[in-house]
Amino acid sequence: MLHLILFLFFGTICVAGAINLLAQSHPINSALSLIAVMASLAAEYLLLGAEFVAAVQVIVYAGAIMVLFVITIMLLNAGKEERTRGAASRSRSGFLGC
Amino acid sequence: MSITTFIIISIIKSLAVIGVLLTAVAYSVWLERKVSAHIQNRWGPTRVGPFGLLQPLADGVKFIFKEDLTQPHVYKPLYIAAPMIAMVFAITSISVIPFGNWVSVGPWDTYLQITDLNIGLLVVLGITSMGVYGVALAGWSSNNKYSLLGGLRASAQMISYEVSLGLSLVGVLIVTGSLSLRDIVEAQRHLHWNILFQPVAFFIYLISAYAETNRTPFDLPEAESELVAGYHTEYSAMKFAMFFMAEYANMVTVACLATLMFFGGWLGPVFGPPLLQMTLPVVWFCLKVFFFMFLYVWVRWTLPRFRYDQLMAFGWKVLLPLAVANIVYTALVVAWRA
Repeated sequence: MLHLILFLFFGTICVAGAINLLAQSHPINSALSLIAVMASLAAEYLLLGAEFVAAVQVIVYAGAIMVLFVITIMLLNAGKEERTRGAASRSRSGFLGC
Repeated sequence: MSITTFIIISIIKSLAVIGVLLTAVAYSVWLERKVSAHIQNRWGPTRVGPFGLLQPLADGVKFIFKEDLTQPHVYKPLYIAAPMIAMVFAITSISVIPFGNWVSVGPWDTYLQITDLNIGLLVVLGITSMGVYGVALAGWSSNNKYSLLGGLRASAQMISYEVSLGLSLVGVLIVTGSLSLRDIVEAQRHLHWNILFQPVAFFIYLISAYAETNRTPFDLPEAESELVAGYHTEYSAMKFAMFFMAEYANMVTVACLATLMFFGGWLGPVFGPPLLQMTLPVVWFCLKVFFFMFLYVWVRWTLPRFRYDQLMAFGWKVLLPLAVANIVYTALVVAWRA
């Protein structure tokens, strides 16, 4: 029971982080949500009994690759992206397309 | 053991470990000030309590009551989150460190460790690698060129030296054949300390550990003469104290890991009545960790700071090849014996 609750909890964080990653307009917030996705995936692996994969997920993805992402964003000093007001029909068809 | 006793014992152990860790952090600051003072022929803190022993308490009160400045140009959410991230990851990694053999109180007996994971070492490495974010985000969110340079230097340095740090431990893992910190210590019984079989790995570990914790001679992220104070330039009061505590907590963790991996952890002569037999391993462990903490201070007030290109060249061109060579040599010896 506790197992299922924890699994759903981290699953929710994972999906919410992924949605937040797309919704944020500042690149560093997107990178941080990607870290949350990676970390909650590691927790899911741990719950599934794959401890080594969980540890490697944290060390390699959350600890090394995402640091490179963050450093790149910091170095390029990427600011908030501009919001263009495109047609609503286009974004709707884009959602339908995927 | 029922679930209630398990939870109660776990809570007691967690509280005890965190309490001891934070006290150790406070007193390693005192140790640093005192030893540095004596190295420079001064007295150090003497006013608050005997030998200045209550100085950490006074410092803590000072940090709490100082004004908490937040500059208008910072990126606020991350500026506030960064010291917390640094602190959380610095404290979490102590949870898998075993600091003694076992104790039994009445009908209950428990290992002196919060949790014994069979991937304990990887957990410590993973949590340490996440600690970079606190420093990097502090540097970036302060929106200040000195902070940004300090944050960039710190993260570049920590990623580079993490590689040789991890690889230096692989030699020990090949010899032991386990990732559990408890098994690694148990394999060193009868003075078969890993330092005797893996001296190269030990020195690579020690040097990379100094770079990992941003200590002299690798304290470029906070080089006062070039960068004001590096990534924590814009921080004051308790937020600054959190970075300070995170740095010293990381030092304690690294010292614990050095003790466990190379110096036989809690192993040492055990004798006397049962109560003494239970406490002596913890005493040995603390003494070994204390030695490494003292070494940190000693090195800091002996060696000058590296230049940045020297630091990177040393990490990638000297330590990394040496660590790989050590792995190959150890693997060959183990394979030849088997």
